[in-house]
Amino acid sequence: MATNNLEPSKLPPLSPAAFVILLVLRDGEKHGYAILRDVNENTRGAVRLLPGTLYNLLKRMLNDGWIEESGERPDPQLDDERRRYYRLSGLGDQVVQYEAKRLARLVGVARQHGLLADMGDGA
Amino acid sequence: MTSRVLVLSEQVYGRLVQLYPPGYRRRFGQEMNQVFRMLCRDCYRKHGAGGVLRLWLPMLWDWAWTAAYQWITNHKSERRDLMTETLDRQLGDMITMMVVGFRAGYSICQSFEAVMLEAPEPASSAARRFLEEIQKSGSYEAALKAWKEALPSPSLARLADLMDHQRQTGGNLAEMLDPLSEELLRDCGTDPAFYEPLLRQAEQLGVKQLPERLVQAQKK
Repeated sequence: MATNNLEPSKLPPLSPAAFVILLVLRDGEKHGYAILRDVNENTRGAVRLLPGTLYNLLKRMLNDGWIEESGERPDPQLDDERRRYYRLSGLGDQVVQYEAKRLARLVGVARQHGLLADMGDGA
Repeated sequence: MTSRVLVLSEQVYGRLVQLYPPGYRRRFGQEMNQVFRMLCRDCYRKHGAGGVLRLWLPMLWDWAWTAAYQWITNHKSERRDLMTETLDRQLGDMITMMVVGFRAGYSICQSFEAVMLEAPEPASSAARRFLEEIQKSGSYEAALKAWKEALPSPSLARLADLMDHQRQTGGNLAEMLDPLSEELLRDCGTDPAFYEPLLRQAEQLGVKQLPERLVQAQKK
């Protein structure tokens, strides 16, 4: 489903993998393997990305205008020239911020119902 | 043994990537191979050959569902492109049919109904879609907007914009649509599948002056 005409508030919830990809791209532009590695490390295995799912999602995000392909490589001397870098667009940033707030509201509800009490605030 | 596991894995994955749809493969295939290679080497460094072998089960599942998904998406997008191309080719004739209806006293909905009942596909479905949108939203303006969004044809978007313009400013819709119809027939051509319904409609409504292409079709 193409969603590039929709405001973030009108989008369906993101999948965990899509959410974390956008999150890691907030740190700066990255190539495919760096995205995959950061997603797997940041989520400590809760989201496990493999190349098929990664590029499936990158294609959709490019089509929807959430991410852009970056023309520049951070260090062309050290880098493989076939590598492509991706960065978050303004729309992608709005989408990930909206999703983070939505998830925070849901976690708040879970806390009100006595869940997550043993995990503390740092969980 | 160890490096053979890596080499073999990369070769097998390279073959699997070849099974994605051509457009997807051209755009992402090389990157996917690269990512897989780095993932395998990383896994080998941390867990040895066994780690690389253990990677294969989730990897095969990841490949299978994403390849199937991309083929389905590809098929849908090809069908949509074909539908849009045919609709663009039919739009000049479709507007001619609507204009003939307006001149015989049809309302907008009656003209669309005539197209829905008489015209070939996909023009017939496009007209049905507009009538459904009118029923659903109850508003001509909202129906035009939804119609335009549902059918990604630039020519159809121009038709919808003209109809919306006429709604706001008034004027004779048939006269406003005539130049668009002529332009589309000139640029996108005409669909012979439309001739018979157009001739039938002209006969029913007693239209005497037929466009040249229809006169020729009548002679045949």
